[in-house]
Amino acid sequence: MKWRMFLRARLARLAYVLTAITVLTFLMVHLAPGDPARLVAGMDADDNAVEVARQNLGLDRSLPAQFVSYVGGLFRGDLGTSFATRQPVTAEIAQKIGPTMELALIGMVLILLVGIPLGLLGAVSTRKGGRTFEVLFSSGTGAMAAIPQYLVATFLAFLFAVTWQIFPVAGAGAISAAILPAVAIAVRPAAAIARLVRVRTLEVLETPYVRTARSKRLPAWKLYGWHVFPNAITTMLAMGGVLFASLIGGAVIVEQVFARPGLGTALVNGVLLGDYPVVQGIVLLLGFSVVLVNALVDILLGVVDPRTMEAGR
Amino acid sequence: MTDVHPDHDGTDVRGDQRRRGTTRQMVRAFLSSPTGILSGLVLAALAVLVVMGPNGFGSAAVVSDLGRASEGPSEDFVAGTDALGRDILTRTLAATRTSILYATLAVLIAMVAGALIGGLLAAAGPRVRRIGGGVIDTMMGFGDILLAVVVIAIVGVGSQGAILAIAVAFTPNFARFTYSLVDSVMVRDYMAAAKVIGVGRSGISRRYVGRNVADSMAIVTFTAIAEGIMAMSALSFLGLGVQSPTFDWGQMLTDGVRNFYLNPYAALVPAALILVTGLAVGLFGDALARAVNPVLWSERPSLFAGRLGGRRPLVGKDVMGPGAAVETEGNRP
Repeated sequence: MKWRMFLRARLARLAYVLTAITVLTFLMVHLAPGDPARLVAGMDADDNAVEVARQNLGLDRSLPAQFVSYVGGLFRGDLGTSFATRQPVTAEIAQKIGPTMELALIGMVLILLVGIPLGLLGAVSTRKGGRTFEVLFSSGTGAMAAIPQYLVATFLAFLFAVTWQIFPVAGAGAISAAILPAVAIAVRPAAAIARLVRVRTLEVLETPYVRTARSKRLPAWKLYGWHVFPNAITTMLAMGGVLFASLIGGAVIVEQVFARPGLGTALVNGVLLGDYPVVQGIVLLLGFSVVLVNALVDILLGVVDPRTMEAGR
Repeated sequence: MTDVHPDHDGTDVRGDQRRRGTTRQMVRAFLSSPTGILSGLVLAALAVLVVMGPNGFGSAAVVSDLGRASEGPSEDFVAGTDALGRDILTRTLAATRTSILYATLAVLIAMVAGALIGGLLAAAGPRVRRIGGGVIDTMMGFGDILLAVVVIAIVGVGSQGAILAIAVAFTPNFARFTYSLVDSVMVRDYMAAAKVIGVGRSGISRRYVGRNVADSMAIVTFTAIAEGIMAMSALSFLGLGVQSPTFDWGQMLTDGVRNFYLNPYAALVPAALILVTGLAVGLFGDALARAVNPVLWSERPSLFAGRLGGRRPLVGKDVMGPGAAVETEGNRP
């Protein structure tokens, strides 16, 4: 019963957040100063041509009517037509999404493969009284967690692409071109995750059930694998949404460092050119995916750790 | 401020995070941390550069010599030249004012707006709190860069747009922080006592909430300014912020990255300065947090302590000492 209420409340919230994002992206064109119709028709076009462009864009209709047709388009998978290339925005996005997804996926794998073991290692060594490692760990991850991804990208590009010439500095396509940018967006979240896992693991190690398990002389791998890790992992899951947003935000900037033709580059170019349909489409896509991932994480957390359901959503 | 504990040992005050030491004790605590002194020195140097501004270097920062474009480091140019033959080092130092002042302005706007929103939310009824909390959480979920890009798409590219964008992107952080801070103060015993003896609403918000919130707020603002400087540079780097002929570190980084193979220092020097500034401001805030919180005096100061990733839920009673404050606001991983 409680479960059903939790799910209903969470889905209701998801619904109104998605609605809010849709309204906001729709209003973006209307809030911005300047006339999109003039932009499309060209700066030196006469009033007649601007009027025709306005009609083609549907901007001469009332705001509610425009909104209805915008939402209708969304349901048909129609995000409008780019002002700059005259291509459908969906086609534009389909072209650009590959390199961004590639970055995000490799980044995610790196974060999980490096962040979690490092955090566990930190916790174990703190318990064993490894003072040097603890200081190294906290200052190292602290520094890493404070450096923005685009600066990491710059330093990595200098070392690996310019000085040692191991990886290419620009482009997309070959997998080797994705490695540096993926590492660049992964370093900061991985450090943050490692710190979190360490703190959480230390907390779990203090709990009565771990003491009981120890007193039963449970082998170490069983203790950590069955009792400590599963309990520490819920924190990780709770971080999932933040992690995803951080990967997306990082990809937007880091693509620019490595001149990768992805969604981030397309978004920035769209803003610079005033190509609103493309900007709207990408913001909608990224916004929806962040919100959906967050909702999914909350629901999964509810399944894994029912205590979080009661934490008043 | 009259609450003096000359012989505390750190354990007896743990229950009450907000007990204060004397000013002299705070100064001593601050000076005892090496990171505090170091970051203070860096900030002093940066302050000099901010005062000097782009014109403080004469024409050296803007004069271009196309015959010597994109050179590597030499005796004439310590860090080489950019694509237009301008001296990288001078130009980077000259860009300090723009890079720091715009970001600071944006963060201060965010602080005022966020504090107002957070404070009002904390005082509002449960329904408004829930909705407001949802809005803040959603905005934070996007991450500051995406939020800032959306704002710029609406208000337009340029310095003003970027300042507004960073302000909007940082407001939810401050709102959430103020909200949980006020919330945690509201449930303290002295608040109940104040209500019992009949202190009015304005008295409560000024003398009790305001005073207890102010110092944590100041410290968190330092961390936010550090983040703000890096975010502002990121926007300029994307070409959405400061526009030519004004220049800042982010813009120099863009030019530098384009010429990476010819003179990598054109990108590295501004990048290093963004990083050093960000870290120095952040660490200074941490040292300040440590100095005003007697509970932390007895602990050994360690580099970057308290800068922990992760977010706390908006709902819930966090213990909000200034140390914890830095932790919540500190970094968005």
